[in-house]
Amino acid sequence: MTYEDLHDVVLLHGKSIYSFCRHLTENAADADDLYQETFLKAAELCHKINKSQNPRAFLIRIAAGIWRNSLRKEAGRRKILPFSSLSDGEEAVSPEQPPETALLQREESELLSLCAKRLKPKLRLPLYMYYTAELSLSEIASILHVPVGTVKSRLWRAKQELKHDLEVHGYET
Amino acid sequence: MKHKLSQEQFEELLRGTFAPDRFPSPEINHTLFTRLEEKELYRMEHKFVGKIPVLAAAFCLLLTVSVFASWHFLSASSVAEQSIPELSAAFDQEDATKVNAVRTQKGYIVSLLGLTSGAALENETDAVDKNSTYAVVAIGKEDGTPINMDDSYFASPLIQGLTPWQYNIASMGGAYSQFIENGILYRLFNCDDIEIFADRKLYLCVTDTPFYPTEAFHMDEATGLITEAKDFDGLNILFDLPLDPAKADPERAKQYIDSLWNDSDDGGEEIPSLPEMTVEEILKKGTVVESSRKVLTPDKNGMLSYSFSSKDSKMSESASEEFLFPDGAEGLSPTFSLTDDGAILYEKAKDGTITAFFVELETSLEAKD
Repeated sequence: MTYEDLHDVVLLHGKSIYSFCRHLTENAADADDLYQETFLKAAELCHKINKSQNPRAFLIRIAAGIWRNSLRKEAGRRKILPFSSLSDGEEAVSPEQPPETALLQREESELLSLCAKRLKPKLRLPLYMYYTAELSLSEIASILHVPVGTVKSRLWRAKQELKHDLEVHGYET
Repeated sequence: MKHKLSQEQFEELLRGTFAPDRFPSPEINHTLFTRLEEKELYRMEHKFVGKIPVLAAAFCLLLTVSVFASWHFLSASSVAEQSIPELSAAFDQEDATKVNAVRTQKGYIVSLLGLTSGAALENETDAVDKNSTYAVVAIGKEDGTPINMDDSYFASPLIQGLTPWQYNIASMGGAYSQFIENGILYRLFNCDDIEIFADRKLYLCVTDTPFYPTEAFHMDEATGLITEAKDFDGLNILFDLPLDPAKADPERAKQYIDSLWNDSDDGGEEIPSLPEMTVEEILKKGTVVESSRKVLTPDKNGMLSYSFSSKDSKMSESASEEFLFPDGAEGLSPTFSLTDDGAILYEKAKDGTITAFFVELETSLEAKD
């Protein structure tokens, strides 16, 4: 893959990569940084990216690696996100829904998103890779260097913990 | 009153919440494209600009290898000057490790030019991570043929006693920048601080592969010492890194090892993959399908592959022996693969033979979801 191809990848997969970065990080500024660093790193490695394969998986691998490194380096000073800082006003409310339904859905999403941020990285990464980056289980297994069965079990565990958190907040699942 | 969410609603909520619906702003993409273009220009400027004069090359080959290095390779600080200028001074510090070692192998001449810690810099700067180790290597061809920027090379520290395929620059927060000058590739790379391991034997490996090649080096299981594989088809040079053992920090080293592969990066306790079930419990609750037993043979990359078709599904898995049996012990591996209707277990016999087999579970953990 050439540099020119990488520009196309930005346009084609930018939304997916950025969404992944946005979920991993705690604010838009960090997401912007992670997104840019991912593509800059990919630029160094672009000759290793096979266009015929899935460049999105390659980029997600890079993004996850950078994020994990930053976690390790900042382990001592990471903060738990307060509830009030979760919403950054980016979530759109569907105009077709009644306002109260849309509000409820938004609240549920905000709660779930916050709960997900409290999951351990081991569970959070496959969750975002599966739902946000829309990677297959085998692609996730390849990125995380674990068997597919382990990816399944981590996803299952992540969902169990999210369900439990929702129950703590008054939901019955 | 509790708000009830059905399984379908919960799944829908998951998909809605984590859907890829965030766009990067046009400004961010604009900045990104600008930075990519700058990076590309930089790369092109630093590509090979001329051949090494034949006479000079011939003359150099008559000299001892170490003299070749001092004559023809840039210094570590000069390389840093072109990549991370703020780091340049660190390579000139007294406590920087001025290795300047040169090896020739399989038509290549490779030099480890220097090694330093980001902490060696007196003034803090965002460009340099003080918790990283930085090193510079130069890679050239013995016959003076210029290195091609599109060729792949892998350079990484290795640590005595730590399995090379697991503990190398790829897993240790590595990054690099490189350029070609006079046909020689100069690579400045960094990874998480390795000085904490200075009481062990430390190495720097260089190969002509894009990623760590599992067959390029051997680690002696008893001593942890790492050596070059004689029969490796390609460049596989190993330098000794002469770090001061006084800089070792065994406690931090242990914490680092634990955090690297236990995924407890945030300081939390380790969560086993399936806390509710152990291999023993799977065997107790499930039924071993004897026809599923297969002896596994590692492929050229050291991966063990297993496939089996149960009554409900077809499964296939692949993992390395180091992953399944990290301590090399015989018996059942604590790692297993969960499928829709059971689990794949791995067992190592006294003679080292590894067998995989399928255990059918009436209600697998996945099915509970």
